[in-house]
Amino acid sequence: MGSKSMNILVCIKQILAPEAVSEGSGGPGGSVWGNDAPTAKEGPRNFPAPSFADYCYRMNPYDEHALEEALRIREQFPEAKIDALAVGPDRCRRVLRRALEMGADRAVLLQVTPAAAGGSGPPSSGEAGATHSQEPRPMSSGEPGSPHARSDSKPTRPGSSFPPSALTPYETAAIIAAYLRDKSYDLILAGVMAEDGMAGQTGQLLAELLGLPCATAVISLRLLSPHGPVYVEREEDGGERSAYEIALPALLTIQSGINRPRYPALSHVLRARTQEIAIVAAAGLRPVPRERIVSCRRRGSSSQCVFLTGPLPEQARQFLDFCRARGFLNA
Amino acid sequence: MSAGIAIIAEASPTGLTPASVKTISFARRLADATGEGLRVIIPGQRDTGGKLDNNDSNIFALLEQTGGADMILISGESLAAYSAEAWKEALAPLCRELSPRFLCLPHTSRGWDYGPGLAILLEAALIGAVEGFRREEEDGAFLFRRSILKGQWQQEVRPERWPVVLTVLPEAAVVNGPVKKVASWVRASGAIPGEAETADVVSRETPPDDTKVKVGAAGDTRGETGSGARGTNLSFSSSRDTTVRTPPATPSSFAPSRTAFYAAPAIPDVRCRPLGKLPAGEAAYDFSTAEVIIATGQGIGGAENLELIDRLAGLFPKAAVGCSRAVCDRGWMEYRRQIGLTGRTVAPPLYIACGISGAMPHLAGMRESRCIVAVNRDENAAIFQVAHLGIVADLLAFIPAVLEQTEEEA
Repeated sequence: MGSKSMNILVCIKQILAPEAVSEGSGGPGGSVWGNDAPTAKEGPRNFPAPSFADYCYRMNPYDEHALEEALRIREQFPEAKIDALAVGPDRCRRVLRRALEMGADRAVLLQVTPAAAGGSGPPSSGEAGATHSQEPRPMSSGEPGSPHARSDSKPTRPGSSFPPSALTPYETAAIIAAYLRDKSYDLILAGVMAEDGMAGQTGQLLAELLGLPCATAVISLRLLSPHGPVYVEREEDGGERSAYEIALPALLTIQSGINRPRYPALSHVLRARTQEIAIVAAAGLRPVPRERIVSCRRRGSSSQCVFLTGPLPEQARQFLDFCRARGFLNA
Repeated sequence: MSAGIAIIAEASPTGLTPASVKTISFARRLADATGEGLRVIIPGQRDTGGKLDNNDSNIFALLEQTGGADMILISGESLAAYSAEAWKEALAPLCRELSPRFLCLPHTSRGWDYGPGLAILLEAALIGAVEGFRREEEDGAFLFRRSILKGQWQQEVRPERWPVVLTVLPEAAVVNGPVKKVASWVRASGAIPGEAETADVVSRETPPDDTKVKVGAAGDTRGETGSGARGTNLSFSSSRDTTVRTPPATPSSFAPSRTAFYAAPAIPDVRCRPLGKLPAGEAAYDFSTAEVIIATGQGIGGAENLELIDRLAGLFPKAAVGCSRAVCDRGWMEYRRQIGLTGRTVAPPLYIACGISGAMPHLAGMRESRCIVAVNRDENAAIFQVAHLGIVADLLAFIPAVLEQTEEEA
């Protein structure tokens, strides 16, 4: 590291806002998500190809906390440089623009192009929409020792609506790792999980692929020197915390509650307009998938839940009766 | 060729953690489906006498909890305090050696911390926050179910290679459908079939070639070396109280309830040094005596509306007020009141969820409640999946209506 300035990378995911998917009967087109019975026979390949308006996508809130943490480090060590990175289709430029507005120095989009016939993939996929642009994704049969090599799987039809599937955390991590192979960052920050996919794996996978030490669910972070080590507290079950001293370079995933992400200052918003977002074609960086999302559907209604009906005062009375009948309220 | 199912369990001062026990129960369901054997790996710092000294767990308590599955205790100084680095370094060589097809971890703050890295080291498929599984009809492939988008949607994920690392949520242990079968290999070998039955561990005979387990006055447990241990790439402890067994050549020859000890390798270059647990800044709120827990989420809209929750709680003689993580993150309530995966786990007779969407991390902390009432504006909210009584309404209208009703009655 020597005297070179500190380089920080913040990994940002553009997600489909859960509200956008929850409202109405499932997005534009009514039953566009109505993939309610994906049968094994039809196979997993018939995802609907929904299109959501731009405003349905936003920066993963946990990544906002990660970016805010990076900005605070730069306030402490002003020579530090912050790069923001996203993986996904072209629309992900918007979250990178937002990152620049919040104060990131540079932004790069590892672009995975949506399949010709595909849309955005299942709603798990903020960074979705990606298949190889030229050719169908390799299937399990291409994987030595694959548990499910499918002798019956037909060669895929070019131009067909082959799964416009989400990138799995492993694919995302592998793409980023391939891009970072000839780069050097002292600190990589990511959100603890994405609010849409809720896996919370990409950061740890990336760390391992890069051979970096990693701590997840970081709720407090202290850096006494830009060369490290970094002192972190990570959150554990039951709200307990453990402290670690981690040598740099390292990767940390940031838990909510660590800070309050700032709103972009006007000067930064104006500056961001002049900043370019670097685009890197990432199709060639995509690995052979190790797992695949085969279906995606809205949960059925609960069988056990009894819903109260009627006007609100009537529902309030029923609620009280319910509690009384079970002895929780004094009659 | 890899085979078998391994669980990496977490030990606590009283034995295995509840999440670990549930993971074993999930793994047993997998075993039922595949006919494969189970092995439970328990990392920790082991003293002499068969105790995980950091955790002080007695092996016999563990044996009961593992339901007669083979137990592998991996121990070393590096495992005295948890770090993902140490667990991965210790577990990766052991897992390569055991070569299971399925590797099940509890989806806890540890499991999902080290699990992904372990999956990379094993070049494994990885599926997180697993809630259940089914077989695909056409080719028998395993499809694992998990929640996305605050629990409103579910996806199924199919591993494309072996082994598969799964981090398992407690609800995956729930058996719905036909009564749980005991895996044939367990029945055949006379092991303890399930957590429901009481295990008489002490009197159980162990096969002669196996590690003997007996209770001593000091609670010591010694292993006697099985003959013909073949070489492995693991480094073994040379302590005289420690017996090291290599895994059998084939899992089928592995009779139940054998206990093997491994020494975790020392880490030459520690890059992540545990500094210990932090003293709790604020004592966790005690929910244990409450009969009714009223929990609030973002739906309350702001700290200024919390008074409504307090007034609702005031109707019940033994009530406590908790909240979801989102409420703490916004600074509306203290973290010590947080219920969920990273907060408290509660199971009161009555749980009233007010304006809580019911994302997986929250459900993990309250779904065992005996009776769950949910109030939420969004009829699709995942909280209704676990609720017994549902009210689709705005909190700020519903609670005043309830309070008004009680005033009228009074």
